[in-house]
Amino acid sequence: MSSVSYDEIKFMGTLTASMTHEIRNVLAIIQESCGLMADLFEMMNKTKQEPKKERLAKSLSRIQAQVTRGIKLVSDLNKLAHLPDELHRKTDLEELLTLMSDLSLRLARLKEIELCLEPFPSKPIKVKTSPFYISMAFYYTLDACLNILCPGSNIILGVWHGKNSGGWEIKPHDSKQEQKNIISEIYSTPQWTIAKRAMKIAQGRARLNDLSIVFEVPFL
Amino acid sequence: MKKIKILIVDDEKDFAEALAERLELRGLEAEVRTDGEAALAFISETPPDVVILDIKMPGIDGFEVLRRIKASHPQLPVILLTGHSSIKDGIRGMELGANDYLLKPINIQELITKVEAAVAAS
Repeated sequence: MSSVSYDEIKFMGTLTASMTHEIRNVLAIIQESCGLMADLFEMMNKTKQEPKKERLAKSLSRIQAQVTRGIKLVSDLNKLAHLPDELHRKTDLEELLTLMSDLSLRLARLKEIELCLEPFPSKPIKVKTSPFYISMAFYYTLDACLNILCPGSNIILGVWHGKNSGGWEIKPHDSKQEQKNIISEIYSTPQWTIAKRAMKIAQGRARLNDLSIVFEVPFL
Repeated sequence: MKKIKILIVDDEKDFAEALAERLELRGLEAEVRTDGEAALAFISETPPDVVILDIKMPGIDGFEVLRRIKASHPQLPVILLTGHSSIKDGIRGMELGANDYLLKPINIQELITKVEAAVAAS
């Protein structure tokens, strides 16, 4: 079992803080929408006039949308909390990349950068790895990308399948910077050093191509 | 009596719109903008009596919007909204010139009390 350092704690802490911030927003919208409905009914009692049905319907629809959003956030947060349950286990790379993309959406949105998931291969790719450490490698690589890319850029996330191995590919795109310069900047970040360490614990490796960042885990 | 004019700046449009409706039902005037640039443009054209400003927003964040408001309209009261559980962001905002801050989800009566106090002090 590897020793837990500040890097592991920061990874979990940052994503948890981001998700709970989103949950606060969901609760704030539900609170204001319920409050508005209560205000409209109170007004109806005072004035003896029917409240406008469309205003009530709009509030109800806002609440329904936020409950759906809240359930998804809590479900993703729960999956994040369960990543370290076992150090290594059979892991569906598509499912995990989707989770990491969803967990990171807000961090990217605040930097005005879009995360795009490439269509997955028809057959699910399962490898024995550490879901916690491969996710940690993803988080630190994404953090490096978000700090380097300009607003309006995008990052394409995909799963790849080779003969003896499979993994994730992260392709940052910025119309204001040359691709090779982005990759070389990522190489010199402390986040990249952490990502490489995390991928070793995940029984794989992290490498940089000219155009993308690749995480690779061998098939057993 | 003149209605207090409030500008709500929050990228969570549903939150801002529901809050604006509730404030209007209580006799205040409320406008909504969902990003910092649009808020600053609105303020330069028709300055409100008070700004309710979310801190975490895409693009220019609430702290930067606050800095620019204080540079162009130093007397305009600003109340910050924070989703952060600690008071760190609120204190940082007060140091930058905000009148007050509230943690989301908010209590509307508390917000109105703070709005009235900020307007009375300006």
